[in-house]
Amino acid sequence: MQITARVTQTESGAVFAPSPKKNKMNRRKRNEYIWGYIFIAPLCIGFLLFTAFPLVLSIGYSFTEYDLFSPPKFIGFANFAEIFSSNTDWFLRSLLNALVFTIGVPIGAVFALVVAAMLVNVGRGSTALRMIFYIPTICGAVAVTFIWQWMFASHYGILWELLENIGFHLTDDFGFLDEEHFMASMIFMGQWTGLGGGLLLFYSALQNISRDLYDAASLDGAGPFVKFRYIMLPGVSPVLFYILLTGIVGSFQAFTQFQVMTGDVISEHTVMPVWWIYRYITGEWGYRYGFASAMGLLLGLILIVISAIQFIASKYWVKY
Amino acid sequence: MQTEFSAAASAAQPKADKKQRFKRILPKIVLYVILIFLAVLWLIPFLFALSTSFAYQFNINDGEAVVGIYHKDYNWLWHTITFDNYSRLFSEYNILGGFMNTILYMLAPLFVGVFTSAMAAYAFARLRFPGRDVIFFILLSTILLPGVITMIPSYILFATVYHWTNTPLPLIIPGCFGSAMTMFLIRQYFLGFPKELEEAAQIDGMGWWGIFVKIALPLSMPVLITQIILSFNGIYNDYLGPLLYVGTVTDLRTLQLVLKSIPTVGNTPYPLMMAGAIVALIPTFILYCVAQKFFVEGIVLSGIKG
Repeated sequence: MQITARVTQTESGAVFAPSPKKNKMNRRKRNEYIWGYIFIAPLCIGFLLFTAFPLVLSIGYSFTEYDLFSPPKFIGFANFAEIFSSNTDWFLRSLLNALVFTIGVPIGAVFALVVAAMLVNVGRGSTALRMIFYIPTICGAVAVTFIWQWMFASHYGILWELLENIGFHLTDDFGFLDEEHFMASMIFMGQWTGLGGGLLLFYSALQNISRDLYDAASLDGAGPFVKFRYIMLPGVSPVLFYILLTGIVGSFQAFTQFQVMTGDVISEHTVMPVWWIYRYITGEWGYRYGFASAMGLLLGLILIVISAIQFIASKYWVKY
Repeated sequence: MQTEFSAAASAAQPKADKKQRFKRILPKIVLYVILIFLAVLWLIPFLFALSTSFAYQFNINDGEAVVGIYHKDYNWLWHTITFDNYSRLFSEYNILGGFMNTILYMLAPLFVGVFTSAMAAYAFARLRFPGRDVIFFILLSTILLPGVITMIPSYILFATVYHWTNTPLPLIIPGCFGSAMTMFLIRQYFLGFPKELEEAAQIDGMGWWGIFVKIALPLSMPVLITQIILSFNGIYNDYLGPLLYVGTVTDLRTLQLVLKSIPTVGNTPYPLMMAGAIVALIPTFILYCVAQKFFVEGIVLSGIKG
């Protein structure tokens, strides 16, 4: 070991000393190293302080009981056990709600693909149309939710009026935002806000598919279904994968629209995971930061597993 | 014989041609009708909100005869107009103060953050140093990390170690260090253009810092502007972050928090809420009109590369 070390030393020394050209080379290289580290330093320091450190802490705190005032107390897996066994804690319920909410993601993806396919087939005006569909996507969730709360309002909202006018008779105990219909309404609103992003991605993917492929398929007598299945779908599959991946992860972490839509009134039917975890920060549910960390970690791990499964599955259906 | 045939053909041509053209155009017309109908549907919520924001709130207890929302004769397309809701926003809710706070908190993360991201992006794209690929991979993998994992520990950290709760610092400081996602997108851009210019500058004896600031940054303006605009919109619309750290301090509230402070229960003041929503959306709309190209580029870029 020592010998090898000495050999390398002399070797490098030998390389270093005689040739001034090599020496200059090395100085330049060292200069490049130093500047490389200087350039990445801010990002890396920020990453360590505000991502890596909290990440390590999240694992640590998950196994403790901690109220910020007295030092954290190690309690093993008790927090996780409580999540799975408690009758009063709504975290599992919130996961179920989130799962229901993710139904909107595939629906939205198909919807966006259909609209994108229509848009590539019209010439003039497609840009203006795309711009309109994209507006809701960039709007703030609080404002958007306010608007939809008013759209969903009983008796006076525009949707209520619309349904009455086309012949549905809505009774007084019906409400778009009542227990039964709340999630469906949120998914409906999500279609309006979410169409733009998926649409733009699908549109650019569809435009990249060569027209020749369609023409060749037509010559071979392929119908619209065959064209869709063997030309369009493979062409947009990376985009579809991206939308499903980010959409599901995003849906599970949806917070703002739920909190605003309900006026911060939490119930079994409206609770979402991030909202539930957030309650422990405000102390409304007691200052249980260890327990809240455990829930955050659990949700994060679930999302990582879901993403991993999607990545593995994508090998079989995504064509790059 | 031949002339006869061609004469007959040319006589029949216009009719057949017209029919065929119509047949070719018909699907397009149908598409346009569907798409325009859909686009109108997409705009209706905004129009509905805009209209309501100028409406009176009908209040039975007031005994006033003004027709407003909640009145049976109220019509959202045609009603008496009032500017009360907007003036209340500025007098009772300090929406302007919220807007100023939002802008104040975002300036540093926006410009310093994009600059530091670009610095790292440049190093990862052009410079060679030990550990570069490993560090890059670690940073990249955190893009996919769900934010909810670090939510509580970050809060604890800001509360106990840094003592930053009830100050806007947690919203400002972390952003200044740049983000891995922004870095990644800028790096893709750097990789996309030739390095001859930088190599020439290097031969002329320019240092790495000089090359970065004087050559690489000016060349990458389009992607930097895109990132600044997307970050602006993201920070402007952020709700959870400000809620966690300045939510309880009235004077520190951002625009989104001021908007949310409008009571939305009981005799719901929809006209006031709609006025608030419209005011909050105006900066977004203006930005979108001015810089639409960058928005589209940003989303398509992050979708393709990400």
